[in-house]
Amino acid sequence: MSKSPRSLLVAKYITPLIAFGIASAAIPGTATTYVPKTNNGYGNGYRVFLSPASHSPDRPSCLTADPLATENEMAWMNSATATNGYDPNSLDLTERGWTVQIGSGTNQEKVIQANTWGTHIFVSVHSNGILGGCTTTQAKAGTWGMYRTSDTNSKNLADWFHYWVSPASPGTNDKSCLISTCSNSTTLLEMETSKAPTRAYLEQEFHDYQAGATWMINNITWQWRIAASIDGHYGNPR
Amino acid sequence: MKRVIGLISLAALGVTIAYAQGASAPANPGQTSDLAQYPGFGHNPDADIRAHAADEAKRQQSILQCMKAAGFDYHPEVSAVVRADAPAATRSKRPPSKNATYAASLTGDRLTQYNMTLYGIPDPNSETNLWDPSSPTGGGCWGEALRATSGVFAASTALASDYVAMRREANEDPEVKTAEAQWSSCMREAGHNFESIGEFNGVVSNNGEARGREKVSPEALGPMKTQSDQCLETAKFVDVQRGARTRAENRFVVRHKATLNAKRHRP
Repeated sequence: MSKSPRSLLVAKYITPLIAFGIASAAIPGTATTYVPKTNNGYGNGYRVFLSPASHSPDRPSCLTADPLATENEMAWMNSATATNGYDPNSLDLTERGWTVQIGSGTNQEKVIQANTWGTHIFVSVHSNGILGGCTTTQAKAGTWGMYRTSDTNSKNLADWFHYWVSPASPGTNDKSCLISTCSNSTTLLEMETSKAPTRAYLEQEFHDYQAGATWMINNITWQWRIAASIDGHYGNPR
Repeated sequence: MKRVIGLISLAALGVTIAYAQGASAPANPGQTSDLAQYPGFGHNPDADIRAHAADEAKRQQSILQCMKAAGFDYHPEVSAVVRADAPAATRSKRPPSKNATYAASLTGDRLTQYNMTLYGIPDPNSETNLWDPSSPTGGGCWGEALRATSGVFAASTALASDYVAMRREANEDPEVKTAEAQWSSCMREAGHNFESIGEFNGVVSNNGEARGREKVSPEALGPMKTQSDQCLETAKFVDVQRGARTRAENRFVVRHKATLNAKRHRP
């Protein structure tokens, strides 16, 4: 797939970047709700909650010179791009009719935001790492869709992430897997505490794999695949 | 300029939020859905957003008082809304939070005390110990605020799984299936082989790609969409789907009346 150099991205989007920076600084917000761009703003009637990583402290990637290239920041940016992206050649979530909220704050606050919003789909958006630094290889890196035990909705969405996002990411160890087999935890309580009918966890790529971190921070042409996954899980409702 | 609307101003100005009962989304024009009288189910999303903002503002004020009484700083923070006509998102740092900055300035027992007061748990980023917002006890200042103001989406949160099931039930309505089969037949006659409208939507939305299908060339997508619109018209699919959705919503209301009434929003 095509790659977009960061310099090109900044040059092309410098004006809205500044505009958004101002808006963001003025309105801290606990979360941001995005209204659908279809059906006069009514969309398909479903609500998606994207829960970007909120590790404290944040986890650095290979690209230590870039303040935006951390797990928390990349999770937030790619959630925003999947929701209301600027790749003119693909459809983001709002263009497909989804109402989206991007959570912010601590894990506890994001669960509260999701559970006071009538969320239908809850997605934790993270990036993976093994040892930190830049130690992970292409053969070990990749996109992982993770699901809860005995939850067919969760597995279905994780499978859709594997179908759509994995082919675009540079690592080759892509998978859809149970949380208890893909992580150090038997459960991830952020997802367990959410009440959404569908809950899944997306490890976009490995932030301690050079090409993976570069893909997450510099490439703006793949985030529609998150939208396509959520869309596919619900049968592309319009 | 991006239209980001800070909703705290509504509460600050003392604006009373009135939910326009019965104001339906375009999904069901001209038909009566019994669900339209219940806020939080998408029949009046603008009113839902306003009500949600007012709920949040109330909770934040409650948390502010609670934290102040315990000797901690707290800065009310509320959701922003990005409207449908906003330009695309840009890549910048996530919005800052004064509360996060304040929490980061605390250490040791003082930080634990802050977290226990605000959330009722020692670590709000724990992946193994979070407080359940539906719990009748605990949750610190957040818990008190949520129990005092359950919010406009309380019923739709409690019934989210049933709502999704109802929507799927509407899609399986015999009249919908018949109309969809007519659409499919009409498309086949024009040389496009699709079993379902969802499958077609996926192909069109994903630049011709779809799971389990050969890729459709981008040049073919435009004419295919035009053909689909004609076939939808012939099958009267949109009207049929609206009717089925309304009937399914009415059955949903009958099934869940007790929950809908118990959790009905009271601003």
